[in-house]
Amino acid sequence: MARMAMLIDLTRCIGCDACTLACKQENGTPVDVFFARVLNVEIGTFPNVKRLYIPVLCNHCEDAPCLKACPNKAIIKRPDGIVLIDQDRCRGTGACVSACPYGNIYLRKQDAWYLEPGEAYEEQFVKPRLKPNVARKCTYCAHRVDQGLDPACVVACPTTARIFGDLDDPDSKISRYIVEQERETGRKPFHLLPGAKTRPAGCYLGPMSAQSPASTDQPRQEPRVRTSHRSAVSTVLSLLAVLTLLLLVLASARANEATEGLDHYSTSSCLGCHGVTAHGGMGPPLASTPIPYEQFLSIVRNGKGMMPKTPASEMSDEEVRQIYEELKAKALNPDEVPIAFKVGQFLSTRNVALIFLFVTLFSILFAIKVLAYWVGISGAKELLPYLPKFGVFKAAGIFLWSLIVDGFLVASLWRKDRFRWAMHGLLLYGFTGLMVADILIQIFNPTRSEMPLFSPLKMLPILSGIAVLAGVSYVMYRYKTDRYIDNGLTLGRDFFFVNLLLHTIVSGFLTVWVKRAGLTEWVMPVYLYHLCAIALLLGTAPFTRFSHAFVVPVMAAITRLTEAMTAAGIDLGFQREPSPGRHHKSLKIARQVADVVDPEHGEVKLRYYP
Amino acid sequence: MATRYPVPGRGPTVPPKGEARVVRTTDSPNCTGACGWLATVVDDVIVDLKPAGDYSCEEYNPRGCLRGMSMTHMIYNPDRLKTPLIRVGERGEGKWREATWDEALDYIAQKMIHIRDTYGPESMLLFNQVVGTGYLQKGAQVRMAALLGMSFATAYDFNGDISMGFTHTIGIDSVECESKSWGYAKTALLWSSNVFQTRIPDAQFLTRFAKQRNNCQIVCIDPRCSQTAKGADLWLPIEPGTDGALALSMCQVLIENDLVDWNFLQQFTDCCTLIREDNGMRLRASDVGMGDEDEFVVWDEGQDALFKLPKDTLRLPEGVRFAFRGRRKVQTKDGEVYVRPVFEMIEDVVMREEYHPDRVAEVTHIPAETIRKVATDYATQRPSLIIVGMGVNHRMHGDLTIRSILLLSALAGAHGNPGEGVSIYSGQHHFRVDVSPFWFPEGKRPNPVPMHYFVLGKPSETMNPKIKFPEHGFKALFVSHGNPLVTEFSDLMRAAIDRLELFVVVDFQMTPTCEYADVVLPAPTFWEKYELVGTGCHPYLQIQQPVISPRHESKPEFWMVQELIKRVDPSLFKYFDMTELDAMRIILEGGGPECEGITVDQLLAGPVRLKVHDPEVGLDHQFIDLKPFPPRAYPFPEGANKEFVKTGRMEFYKEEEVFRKLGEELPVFKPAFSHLSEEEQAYPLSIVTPHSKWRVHSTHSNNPLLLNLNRKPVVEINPVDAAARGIEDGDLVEIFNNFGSYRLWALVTEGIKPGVLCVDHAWWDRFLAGGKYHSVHTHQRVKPTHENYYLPAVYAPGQHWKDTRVDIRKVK
Repeated sequence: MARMAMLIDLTRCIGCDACTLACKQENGTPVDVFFARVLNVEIGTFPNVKRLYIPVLCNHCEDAPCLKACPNKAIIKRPDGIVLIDQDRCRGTGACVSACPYGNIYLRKQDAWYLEPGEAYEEQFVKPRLKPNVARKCTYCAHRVDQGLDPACVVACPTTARIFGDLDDPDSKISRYIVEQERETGRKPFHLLPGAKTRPAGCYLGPMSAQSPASTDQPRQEPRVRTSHRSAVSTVLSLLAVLTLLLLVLASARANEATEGLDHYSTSSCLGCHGVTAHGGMGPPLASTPIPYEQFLSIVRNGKGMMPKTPASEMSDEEVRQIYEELKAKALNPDEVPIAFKVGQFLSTRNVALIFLFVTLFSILFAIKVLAYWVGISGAKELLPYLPKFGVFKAAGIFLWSLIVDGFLVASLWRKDRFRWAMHGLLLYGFTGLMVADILIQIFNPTRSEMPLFSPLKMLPILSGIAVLAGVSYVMYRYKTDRYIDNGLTLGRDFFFVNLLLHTIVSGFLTVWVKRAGLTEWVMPVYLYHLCAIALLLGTAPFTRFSHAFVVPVMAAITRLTEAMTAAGIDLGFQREPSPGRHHKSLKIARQVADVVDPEHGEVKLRYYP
Repeated sequence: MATRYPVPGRGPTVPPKGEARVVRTTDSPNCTGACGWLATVVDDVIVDLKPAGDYSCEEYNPRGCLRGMSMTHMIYNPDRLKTPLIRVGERGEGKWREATWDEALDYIAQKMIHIRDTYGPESMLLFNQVVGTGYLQKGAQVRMAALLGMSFATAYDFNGDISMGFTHTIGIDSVECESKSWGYAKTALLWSSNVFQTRIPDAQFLTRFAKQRNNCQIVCIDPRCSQTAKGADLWLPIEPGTDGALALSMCQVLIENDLVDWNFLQQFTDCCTLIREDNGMRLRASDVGMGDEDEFVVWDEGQDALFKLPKDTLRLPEGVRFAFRGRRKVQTKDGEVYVRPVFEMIEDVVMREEYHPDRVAEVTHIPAETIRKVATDYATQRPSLIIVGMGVNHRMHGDLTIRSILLLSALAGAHGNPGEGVSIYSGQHHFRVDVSPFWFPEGKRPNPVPMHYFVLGKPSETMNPKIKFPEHGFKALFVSHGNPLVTEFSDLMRAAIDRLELFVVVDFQMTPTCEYADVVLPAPTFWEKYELVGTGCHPYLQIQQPVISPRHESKPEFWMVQELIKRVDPSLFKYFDMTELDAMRIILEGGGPECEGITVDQLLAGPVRLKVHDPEVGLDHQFIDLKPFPPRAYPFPEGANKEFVKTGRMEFYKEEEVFRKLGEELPVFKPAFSHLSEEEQAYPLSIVTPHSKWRVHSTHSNNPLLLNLNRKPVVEINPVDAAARGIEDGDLVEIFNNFGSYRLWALVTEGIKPGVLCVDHAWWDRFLAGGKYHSVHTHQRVKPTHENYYLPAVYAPGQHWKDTRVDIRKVK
């Protein structure tokens, strides 16, 4: 285990941009793409002006938002902590571009180059180094690190302001430098934008004359917990499922063991749910039932909740009366009431609806919170001041259009891989279908009474379920076969989500099949399990891979909007920026570092050119 | 080198194809950084550059900067010259005929023969820039000029980099300590010097060593909050041109608070020498019958008698105590004469009310308290260092300012130790070794003429009689390694060129100067040829070697000269019948004590430190070895500059009549613009033209990699000045005065003093929004105190770029 990191000492840095150019030389980046940049900051008003140079590059965050935002698992975290964008796998969705709070990811539809076409240097040795139309960023020169060399910017820094090494190794250059500087100059390293909670590997030491030690924030060096428990999740989930079902069946089965003196009842189909001794199973106990006969008959004829209708052709009024009377006469022994019913009695349609309302509200609340975090780090707020100049309606149009194209139509997959696009479509639209079906059922069949198979309200969820099942099966297959699926950070959550989704869908279908197969004592346990799975799925939605369904489209839409605003050049900063599209994020960084350097600083401006 | 591997993904890494070769070389642009590089070459293409980082003093590693790092985009630039070009249209019209080398050289040779035979060889002028950055290729051109008897214009003085304040005080135009010495400083005054930008590879000695190791106080004196001001503890936004007042005010603080190092003044300066009241001349030993004309006497208070200063050493006998004050009567061969020590006269000037910090604060706009603090810190928090930048020197009265700064350093005695001294890294005039054996075969030298007189078209009235201006004027000009039509007074120079019969430009790319040439000869970049490289910044000698073969049809200057000599005078070819490495051996063998024992083979393996002190503190021979001033000025013989400081000490009193006529016998402050015409002075704004971070002078103007970061030429302007003219950030603006105008974009910034504009110098005109960059510069005036002696690039007239006054308006 290692944790490669870069420390930039702002006392040593002279803002010369040698790093910027060394990076270009090493990585062969095209026009306007700068994996390493230097922010040129001007603070205050004449004559109380301070200048600050902040070299920035990918921070290789411990908790990298880009990695979590990538819908394609193209961004990976290596065991040594280096975060890479796999050039072969990236689909150019652009979610990572907005997800990076530091503005260090570059995605350009069309690359421009520096020299004349045909110049061998560029054609043969520069252009082939990066793939077109994919997201790119600093790799800490992973190809050099793999050969035991320091990154190009470190090697080229003429003031050795960049110190690179393994934070986990107390003998590494960087670890020793941190200790030595704290001892000798009293400076502690700080991170950029601690509010983004990304836990960056990149850290900074402030200028010696001005840094106030109070405002530092030491880089965390605690050992990482690896979160990829690929098979553990599915095993645990499956075991839990089997266990739950067994428990429920056992509990309801207990009621079937006792048999005594109910003639008509015991020949009816009622005992399937209400227990052989009428002390209840999945349905309520009927012994010594308090309800009057008229109501009893009405329930038998019309059904209730999970209970099907029983027409007079199947059971005459007389038979119903006889059963009613037998039941009325039967003494209720509370000890015999099975656990399943004790649970099940609370599952009235109303209660289930309430529970789901609560779960949904909870998940929506947290989904909003999660989305707010992502929108926050995307710097969208910093874009707002420029919106009026750009046109609010135009911006809204671009945003919505992108939500549809990038989100609902999964455009980036369509461009690169039709099969994967189709499979993701099945998942996405199937899920949408299920949600829609649920809402429609709430409206048209609030009691959820039995309905024929070919009713649209029935067909919609079934078809959607099949679609999701197909999609999720493919995803699970891919998890099995794709050796690059592990990005080093999100796999545990992904797997939890996919498995849960599978369980939800399968148990949903199982409920129907079990009921059709007449395995009445299994219906309720399976259904209960299904409900639990849905509740869990919804409840964990904001925290699992599910979140990418709503995060990615929003982030991609912000990226598209930023691109449009940059191209329009609505602000001078945007227009003149050598690496267009990140002025607003750079400004945020500049303000934070200015706070660290001098808490009482004046206005912070970014300068491009000289 | 690992660079050829692509960005790794998760698949297996495919090793790059083709055989890679790594070559150690050095570059030699006019930044004079002379940084070592490792170039990776595949199929004769440079695919990667990395700093070599192989200097034996670990502190120097690595060296390099953004400009060196982006050299690939100059080597492979579309502006590269492909073949020799001969003009077919009018000058500057852009009509060319692509020629073979034979055609071009025959054409030039034939013209040269004609001019030599008709007007004499001295009417052909060679002007190659910063000869100190390349002893071999540029040297070959000088060798040719010497053999043919051509005229040779040194660039250093014409560029304005010659610092006559130094020559007047110490007898040589500049002094540099090696940059490693900065690291010892506890106080560093960066006087209009922007070392973070202009000395990128050396800047770490201020940040990583001086600051981090000694917690050095760095003071930046500059009207703009420069890149260097970023690392400074104190930024003094000084009113442009008032640096001399500041220096003298600091001198006053030192004298007032008795922070003067009397021993230093006594030993190393002329402060105790005596000035005759009758004729203003220094009292000589011969005046009082104690010795020769070139010996000087002081008053020894211990003996209460005159004491003759030793001529050949700065060592003084134990126990002497010279008088710094007191008017005395001395019996001379001319009768009784009153004499006064120089120090007392200095004191009279420095202690004037006009140099009181309170008064100077009004002039410089720096608070009196700050002046006192900086002066006190400079004298007490030792070692203390001053680095002077060209902003101070590029002025009519820049010589006075530098003399004042040197006076400050002498009063504090801040010389001779690591982290001390006054250094001015003003271009690589100083040769590290004696190049004369190669440059001046058998003692033959070209006819040296300051470039000023070429541009002016005729000698000035006060031109030094030693200068031999060609009888028939100049008929041919050879420009090499330079781009004077961008960086100099282009209009005047164009007019001078128009009078020529032949104008040849050697360059690796189509510069604006090439565009005006009769014949353009394509040279290789410094990555395609041999060169022997030294620099003032560090004491390493290095070899530059051809990393790739010369691109297109380009040929090294050495080869061009060989071919020309063959054609112009075959009898002289014997002087060039050698390889480039042979020429380097000649230089190394005759290079003097500094490079004794250094061989070409050693240099091919890596940089070799010259035999000099470690660290070099500047003026080592004087302050450490106690040899009298001036230091030897390579490539001139020992003593060539002796007459500039006759006392053999740092001279603050100049006895020559020409100084007294101007009232400049002692360092005084003269308002910067007082010599301008009323019309010029009427323009309200000063303009400073510092070096750009993105260029080395005009080189890299067209580097697409750097243009990606530095996209447009801008003028920095304070919001106050901008608002008064309705200018907003990013507006298209025009800078103008009575001489001309040009257009560019406004960068409204708090980082510049109100009343001052700043434009990075030497943009190629094609990048401007209109006009010519140098069209506004105030016209050349020569100060007589720069003409009373002459030694090329050591005592010669300079330039005054920064004296320009302008105004600015928004382009509607």
